Parts: sequence; C-alpha cells; structure tokens
Amino acid sequence: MAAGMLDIGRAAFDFVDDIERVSDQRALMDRFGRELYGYGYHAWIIANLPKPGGQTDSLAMLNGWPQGWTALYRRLKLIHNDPVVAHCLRSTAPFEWREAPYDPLANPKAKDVMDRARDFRMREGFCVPIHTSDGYEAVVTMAGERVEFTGKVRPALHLMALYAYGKAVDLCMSQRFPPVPALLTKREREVLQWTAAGKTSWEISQILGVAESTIIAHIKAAAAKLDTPNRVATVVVALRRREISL
Amino acid sequence: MIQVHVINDANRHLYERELDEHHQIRHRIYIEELQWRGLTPRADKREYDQFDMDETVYLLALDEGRVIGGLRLVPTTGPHLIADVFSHFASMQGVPRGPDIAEWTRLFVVPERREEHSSAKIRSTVVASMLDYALREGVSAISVLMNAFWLPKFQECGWRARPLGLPDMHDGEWLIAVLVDVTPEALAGQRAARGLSPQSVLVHRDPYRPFIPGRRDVPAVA
Repeated sequence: MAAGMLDIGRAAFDFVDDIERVSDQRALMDRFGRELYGYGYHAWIIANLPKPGGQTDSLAMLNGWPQGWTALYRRLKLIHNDPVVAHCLRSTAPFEWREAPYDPLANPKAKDVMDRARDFRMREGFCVPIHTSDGYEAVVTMAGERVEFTGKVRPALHLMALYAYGKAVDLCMSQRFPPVPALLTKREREVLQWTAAGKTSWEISQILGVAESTIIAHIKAAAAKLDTPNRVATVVVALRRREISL
Repeated sequence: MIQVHVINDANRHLYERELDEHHQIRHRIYIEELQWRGLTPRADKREYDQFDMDETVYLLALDEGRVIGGLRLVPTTGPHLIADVFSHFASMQGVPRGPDIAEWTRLFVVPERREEHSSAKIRSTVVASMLDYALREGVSAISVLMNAFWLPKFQECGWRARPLGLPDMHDGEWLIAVLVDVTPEALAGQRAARGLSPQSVLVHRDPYRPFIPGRRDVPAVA
C-alpha cells in the first residue's frame, strides 16, 4: 500500500477510535490483525509474561501467532531462551526484534528460537514491552517476512499496540467480571467498604458521624439485598459484584 | 498521614516554605538526576520554568510538614508545555484548549521516598488527588505529555486517555501526549486499582480561588 505519512498517522488514529467501540475479542483480533497485515506483519500476540522462575507458559490475552508456532513454543518452552522476551523484561522502550541482543555463539539456544521463528515466516519483528503497576510484565509483539518500520510506521505501530493492549485488558476484565447492575445504595457501599477495611459498626459510626444503630441497619439492608447470612458474607459478595473494592 | 494540599496564587503565602522546598526537589530530580535537556542548572538550586506562573496550581503531598511528592497543573487557555514547546506531539488532534482543560506536568516523588512500595503509594495518591481536585473544580479533561510507558498504567485504572498525536522520540524517550477524561469513574478506578482509601486527602486552605476563573459554585473541600 502506498500510504503517505499523514495517512499512516490517520489510519492509526482511526484504529484507536474504532476499537474503543469494539465489544468482543474476536472483533479486536480481526481489526488489529488487519491493520498489522497492511505493514507486512502476519503474526502477532498480546500476552502477559511469566515472572522469571515463574510458570512456563506465557499467558496469551489475544493470540495472533501461526497455530503451529504457539504449540511448538509451548512444547519446547522456547520462552526461556527467547532473546526478544529477555530484552522485553529489561526495556521500557519498544524495539525491533533484531535489536534484542544475544551472542549466537555463546547462546545457541537463543539463536535456535530465532531460527525456528523464521520457519514460520517471522524474520523481522517489532516488540512493545508493557510494564504494569502491579509488577507484571506484558508484551505486544508482531512479526513478518518483509515488514515496514520506516518513517511514521514505527510510531503508528507503537500507538496501536498500546491501545490494543488497553482494550485487550478491558475485554479480559469484563469477561471475568461481567458488569452487574448496582444493588446497593451509596451509603451501604460506603459502610461495607469500611467493614471490609476491618472497622466495627461503632468505629464506622464515629467515622461517618451517625448512630451505631444506623450503621447496623445499613449492613442489614445490604445483606437482605445480596441475600447473605452475615456481615462477612455480605462483604465478600459485595466485593465479587464489584460494588466495593479492596 | 499524607495530605495533598492545593496551592495557588490566592493561598501561596501560607505555603512559601513548602513551595520553596518543592522547587529544590525539582532541581534535584529534573536537573541533577534526570538532566532534562531544556533545563539549565541554577545557582540557587531551585528549578523553575516559564510555566511556573500566577495561574499555576501545585498539588503537594505533605507528610509531617515535609514535601514528599507533587505535581503541577496549568490552564490550557494560556501558555503551556504542549501548546508552546511540544505542539508536534498534538499534530493529529490539535492542542486541546479550554477553561475546563488543565495541563499536567512535573509529577514527582522525593528520592528519599522511592522505596518500591511507598513511592507507588505517594505517586498514586497525588494522581488520585489531581482527579479529585479536577472533579471538584469542574475541570473536564487533563492533557499530559509523558513517556508512552505510562499509558497502560492509566488504562489499568479504567481511565479514558485519548492520544493527541503519534508517539515520538525526545531525549532518548518515546513520549506521547494524551487527553485524560476527568470522571468520577476515573477517580474511583485509580483508587481501587491502587488500593487507596475512597476518602479524599485533599486540603484546600482559604483564601479560595477557583481553577476556572469566575466559576461561582465553591466546591466543598475538606
């Protein structure tokens, strides 16, 4: 495609706009995959990375790898020797695969990973490391045989990767915790929030400046709505429903 | 207990010592430690730039009287960083301007409090207080130029942050300008994701001056 510089930026912005409205993973995969394909990237993945010494499989959020590659990668546990993954854990900036340093003589296993990737038409690639606040590392990485990096392509890929990641997290969250209509009043949530923090009814009454009997009434009302037998169960169900948070 | 104080032109006489301490901290961080190219070392060891103005609002986190973190907000109707220095970072969407749009710069945590846990706590408290303040003041959006590396952290908190331009390299870092929507959900998301109490820690001492000039309804502030 003969896209001008401005068009590349505009296409990336259109992508960011479009995926905001996407509501399922399939649609996000199709849209992201199509966009990357336009720049020569036929393979990609959005995945959490295992902590060093942690579990062996990477946790794919959205998997656009060739099928055989995912299976091979898992079976041979290539993640432990993948120089792109190793560089990802060290880098905050995006990089091209060939910028991931390794010595093919000293580290033949790393070379083996890159050679095997070539068998799947993944010769060149681009990687955007993601560092989450809770200390987990994730990655958006993409590859192909003859890919584009030049001019605005690299920043456009960077932008799309960041927003595709954000949307993928969003969709994973809403799948795990489907939105439920709020049952509790603001005051009931406030009281349960303090209960979850370990406060007694009397302490909460002091904090909120109301009678202890009022606090107990709020908790009973919440328990009735959530159909729970006691205070602890009420807090647990409210947390699970995301009416309150820890 | 950490409190985040709102300091502007109307009440700065109550905070001369804290403001001075904050300019010294900024000199240590941005000039001595990070060595930002646009800034030159100063003999008085205090960092100022052209956006430390009468209109500037500082949110400073104080712990037993000491400044431990903070950030800076300026109105986008006047001079500000994205408009005057880095407008190419907003080349796709244009520079957002409006009385209800603030620009956020200079988020910091003092080096002494950078131990893993407390640093994150201070930073997230200051950021939550920024949204808290913006909501009370009727500010609808906040623009910020930052390392693109922060964007996923915003997204984790459920923030809606729209890009203004493509990421670009500056001083060895990939920066991006975004516009963050100020909503109760963004504040609640920030607090929930970072394990902060739902109670406000914002302190706004009189004399009060609204962020949006002429705004009448004075918000209730602890």
